[in-house]
Amino acid sequence: MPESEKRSILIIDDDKTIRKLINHHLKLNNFTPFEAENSLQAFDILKKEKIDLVLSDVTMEGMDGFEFCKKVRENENHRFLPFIFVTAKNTLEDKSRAVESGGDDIITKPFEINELILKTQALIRRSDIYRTYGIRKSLQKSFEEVTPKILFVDDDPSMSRLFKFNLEKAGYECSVADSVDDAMEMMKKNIPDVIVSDIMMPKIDGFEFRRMLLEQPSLKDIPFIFLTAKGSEEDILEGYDLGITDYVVKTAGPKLVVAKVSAIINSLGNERKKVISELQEATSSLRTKVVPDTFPVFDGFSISHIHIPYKGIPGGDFLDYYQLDENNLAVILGDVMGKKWGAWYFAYAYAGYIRSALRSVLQNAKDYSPSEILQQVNLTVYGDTKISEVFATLSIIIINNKTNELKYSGAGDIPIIYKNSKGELLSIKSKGLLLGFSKMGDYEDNVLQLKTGEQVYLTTDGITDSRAKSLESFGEHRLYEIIRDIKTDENSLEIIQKKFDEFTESEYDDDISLILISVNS
Amino acid sequence: MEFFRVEKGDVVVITVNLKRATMVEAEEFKQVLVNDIQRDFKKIVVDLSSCEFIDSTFLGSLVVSLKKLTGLGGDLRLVGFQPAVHSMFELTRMYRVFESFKSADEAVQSFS
Repeated sequence: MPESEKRSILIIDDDKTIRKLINHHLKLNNFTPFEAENSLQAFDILKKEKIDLVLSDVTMEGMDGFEFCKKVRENENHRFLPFIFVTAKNTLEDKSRAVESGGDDIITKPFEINELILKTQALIRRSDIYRTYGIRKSLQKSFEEVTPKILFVDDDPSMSRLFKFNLEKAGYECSVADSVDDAMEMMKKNIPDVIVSDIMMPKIDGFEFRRMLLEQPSLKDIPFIFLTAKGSEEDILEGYDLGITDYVVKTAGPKLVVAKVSAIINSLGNERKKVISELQEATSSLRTKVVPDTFPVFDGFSISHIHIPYKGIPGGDFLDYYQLDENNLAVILGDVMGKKWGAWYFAYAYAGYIRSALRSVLQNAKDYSPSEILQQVNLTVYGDTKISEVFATLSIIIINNKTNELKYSGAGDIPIIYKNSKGELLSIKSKGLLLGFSKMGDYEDNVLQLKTGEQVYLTTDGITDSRAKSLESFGEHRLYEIIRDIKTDENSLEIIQKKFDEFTESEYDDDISLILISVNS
Repeated sequence: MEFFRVEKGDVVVITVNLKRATMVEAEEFKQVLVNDIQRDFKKIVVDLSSCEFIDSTFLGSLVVSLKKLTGLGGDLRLVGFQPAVHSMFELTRMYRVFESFKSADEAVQSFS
């Protein structure tokens, strides 16, 4: 790992031996530790270094750990800095003081060093997710490519017609309001990208309109252009006091308005590009991938997949392969619900979160039961209240290349498709609930005894729900028909993708994922 | 109106007036439900009789609200599954967590 990507941990303890012990183990786990004996030194380090997490003792000379944490939280930059208390104090009162002062977790001495490292890793991972979650709103906007909408407000219908015509000719969608009341009503349903408003209007004038908008958080940031017959400086000044974006004199004609609107829309477009590049940066900093780059090599089986993220932005579906031992391979496919309803960026972080939670369960898996793995991941997700609003479907398959046994368990997922040696298609349903919905997900294992040449397909709803231009859904039946007709020597995934592209004309409605497991002959 | 809302005593009935209830409307729909939950309504009936299709995102907004409500000791009950909607609930096993009824009245009465 490059030095710059290492996370910095601040250790505060007056006991040198403990500091050295923690320091040593953090280094072993690729963290960069900093040490402080007391709060004064700690403040100094916080000021100079970019610290990613604090491990703090409670009893110290001078300011104690609780007070220290409170002080740290007062600083805006450290309000969300992950903070763990490491202390011999373990009464309920101490714990509640730890929480009150703003701590995220508490580890009691004597502690297991492994537990401390695990908690540190988990908290850092979580704070990564929440940090990126914070920018989801701005990202969501950039996700949709839509025709920019202009709201034109003027009491003079001939003016409105003239400007509407010119704006629409320039490729914008333009709606017209003949009064401020009308405009406010329209904005309840449809938020425009730019507002162009007359100043002189009966009842409520343009200035008052602008003031009304400034009072509404959801409307105050919409670029706003005043259009007026009056060219006096007074008007202009009053306009700028209200934080308007621009100002056009009516006599200058519609061309100038179109030019100004275009300039604003373009600058919004640049914002969009900026946000997308931020996304890519954040993505790489998370270092969580949602889809592996290569197919796994597993003796006796061929495994491959198709994965096409919706509009090229990763997030909804995630898949993974994990070799448990030389004879057992886990195959995982999941779908985070709500990629496109305001949480789509979060979906990406969440997919990474589940994928890494799965990996840590798999690392310690004793018997290779997909349902038990599912239940453990379910508990992790269920217990994390901060992500309780997002749900995911998940399919887990474990194949054994010695026995050719396939074990499958699913959480709210689409049935897997089993093409047996007679060429029959069987839909294998699981019964478990969506991940994170309830404490006990009610998961069970389905076992298939695979034979040479047999195939198993896993997919999410992206393929079946995608529609043709005629609005007809691709549907389960089409997928089944195509799979049924595939001959043993043909490349199944290529054929499915080709037919799917023909049907949808390559315009997808969602992430497209399909995994194929076949037993070699 | 896409979401028609009516109060019957302490039960809120929300009728989804959409043939296809999808991600396009899911956020707004979720907001309608959240508003009621925030206003302390704990018994909600959602009438899906008009829906020929719902996608997983829209379903997600129902699931989120159900989870919130059951956490508060309330419930969200459903009415009127057309075939494709029924199979969506079956496919995701969500029919097991949502109670469903034939009519809105029946669902409202089930709360008393």
